[in-house]
Amino acid sequence: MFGLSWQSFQERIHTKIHHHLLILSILIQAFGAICTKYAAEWGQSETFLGIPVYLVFYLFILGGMGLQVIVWQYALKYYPLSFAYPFRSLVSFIVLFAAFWLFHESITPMNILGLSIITFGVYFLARDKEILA
Amino acid sequence: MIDYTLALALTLVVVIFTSIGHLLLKIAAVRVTESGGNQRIYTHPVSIVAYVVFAFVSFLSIFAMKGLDMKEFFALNSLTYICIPLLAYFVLKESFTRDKVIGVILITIGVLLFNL
Repeated sequence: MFGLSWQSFQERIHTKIHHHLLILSILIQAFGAICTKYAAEWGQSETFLGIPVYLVFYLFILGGMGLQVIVWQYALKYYPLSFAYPFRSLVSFIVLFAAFWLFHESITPMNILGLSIITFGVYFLARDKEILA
Repeated sequence: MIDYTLALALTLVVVIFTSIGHLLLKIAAVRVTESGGNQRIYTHPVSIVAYVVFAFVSFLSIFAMKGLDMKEFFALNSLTYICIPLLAYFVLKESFTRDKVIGVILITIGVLLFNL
């Protein structure tokens, strides 16, 4: 009895960890996108400890990319590509809202509609497991 | 700030190189599989070339975003989802299924609507 409940407890914890991996992967990607925009906003003359600020952001982008590769590969072990990949295109929605909040870009209904259709398109592509691996 | 047209051109270069990077990762994965798992995918020379390509793409993205809104840049980046199956079809001789065609059409419509 105790063994069974312990097993189900472990399964629940693992499922939660896998969900968090997928979410973490998406957040890291969005973080990279925001850093890229910040790097673009800073001029090449501004420095931080003698290093151009845009290069500091670039280091953050590269670090995030490395971490993202590891987390994403790990998440793919537990989720089918057809589920994980469309989930990944949610980054575009996070980026859209980040663009609104942080960089004061506008959001139009066409932006939302366009991204929703793109997500459906990615879902169809990811149903075929040959690509996007 | 850079010119809008130049930023668009840079974004297209980013899309093409990102797709090439993914293609290289796929080639590395195939070679590792063919070697019977004797090589590690993360340290395979072709994977390392792909990482260099991605690092270059990130750097280029900074300059592309100097002339484009962040939302525009990422919507256009969705074109990589179209480029990858096309490259896979021509280079790796992968099939082009009905689902892929539907996906490519939907993504194209989505990108066009986004930029309206």
